[in-house]
Amino acid sequence: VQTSVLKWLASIGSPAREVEWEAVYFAELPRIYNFIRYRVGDGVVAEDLTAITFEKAWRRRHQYRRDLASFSTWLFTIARNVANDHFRQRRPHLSLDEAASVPDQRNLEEEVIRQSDCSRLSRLLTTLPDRERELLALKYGSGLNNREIAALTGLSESNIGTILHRTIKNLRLQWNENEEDHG
Amino acid sequence: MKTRKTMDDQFLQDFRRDPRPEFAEALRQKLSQKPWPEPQSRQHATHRRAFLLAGVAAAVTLAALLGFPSVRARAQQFLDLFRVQRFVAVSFDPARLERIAQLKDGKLDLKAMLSQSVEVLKEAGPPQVADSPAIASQMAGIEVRLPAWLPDGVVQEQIRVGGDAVLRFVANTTLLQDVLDALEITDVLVPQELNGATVTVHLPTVVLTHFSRGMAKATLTQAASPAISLPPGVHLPELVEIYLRIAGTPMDEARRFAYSIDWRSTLLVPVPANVASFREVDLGGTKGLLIESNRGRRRRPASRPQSEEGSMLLWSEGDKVYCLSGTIRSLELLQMANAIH
Repeated sequence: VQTSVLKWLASIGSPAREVEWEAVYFAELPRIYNFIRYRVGDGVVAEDLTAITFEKAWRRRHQYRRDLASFSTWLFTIARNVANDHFRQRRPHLSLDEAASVPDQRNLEEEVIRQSDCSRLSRLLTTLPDRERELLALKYGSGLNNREIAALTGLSESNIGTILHRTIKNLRLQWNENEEDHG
Repeated sequence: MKTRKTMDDQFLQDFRRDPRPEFAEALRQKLSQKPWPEPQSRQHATHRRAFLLAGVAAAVTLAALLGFPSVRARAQQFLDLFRVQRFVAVSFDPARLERIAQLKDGKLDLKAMLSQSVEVLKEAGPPQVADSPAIASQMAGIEVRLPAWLPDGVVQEQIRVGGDAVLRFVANTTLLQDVLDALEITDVLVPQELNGATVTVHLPTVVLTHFSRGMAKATLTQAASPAISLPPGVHLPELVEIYLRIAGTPMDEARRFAYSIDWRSTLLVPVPANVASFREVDLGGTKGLLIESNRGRRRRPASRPQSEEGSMLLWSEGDKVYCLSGTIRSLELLQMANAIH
């Protein structure tokens, strides 16, 4: 359903002012925020970049054209540019666990384990090339499917699948090696 | 320290976090403080459309949830009349709705939910025959358009003009909440401000043009936009999301779908998955929605009445909405629609 609707949206030539901004905001904020978290880590920086993304989108909303892309795709394009600008300014990669400042309602042991896993995963993510980390952020941070990622990045769906498969395989190997070191 | 052992998709997704509520709210307020540069008239028009489609979505959604013939017929009347800018279809499983009706020892009477909430304030009365398109235009107050070309053997029959009507809905969210509770759906909230609220629908005149080829029939319905008002504070995507969750759409997909479309100008058309399929079609640059009966695609047994078969083509152009439906082949319906000028 979602795919057909996105395709349908893309074919409609209406201006952005018909987008219900508040609805879009609440629907897209978690996805954009997590894309940036997986991309750059750190809670404060992630919040800053998320805010920049939405403010840019808001300012440029009249430039948005539904006949060219869905609103979500347009928003992710802005978010990708914001993240890339951030890296061009040579800001350091920070870890995901710093963002997890609000603990879930879990027992303490689970939370400690989760924080530990989060910390280890962030360290592994910082070793990835930009492209691989961005694809992981789009896939797992924002929950986009390969087709949506292809529309954003210009890579083919099969290429994305291959890169993600290879990246996760390498991450898994490193994770297991690290596990043995811990054990 | 003990850690999770398997790095898989779920593992990687588990590190998602919702934005801090304080951050989300602060950013929302910051954005909302900036004024919209739209002219007043545009805002007014948008506001009116919001009212309009809210009622449409609610009516059609409720009707589709039920699936009883009388209700379907009534919903069909709405569908033919509503002014929309575009249509979007979603499949739903009627068997799921039947199962819902059986929950709580059959106390979830969905049929009652709708029939008790619709009040006819003004009957449309029987349609009147118009001798020509020009007379029909005069009677209906709209420019009646007809296909300039008809498939081989298809002939135009009567043109009829239906009177205007006024309906009123009284929303009952208690039962809706009961349905959600019975299905253990807790991720959506029924807007409380909707309970007991009334939605008034003014249905304008409608022009019906009938066509036939032997036993095969088709009807072209065209109408101007009705006026619908909805209580303030009702958030359209919320209603769509509730409908999708009840219809069985997974949480993430329902939310994304509901919030990715401008429902102020979009009519949600629920299509029973077991009896019909749908696709978008191009009508000379205008997008239409073609819904085809699955039964109509196969050879019809003599025992099955022809009325169970057929196709429906929906589209909107200018300030009018069109519906071309019948048992004439869908390809021919498309050709007829393309010939309307």
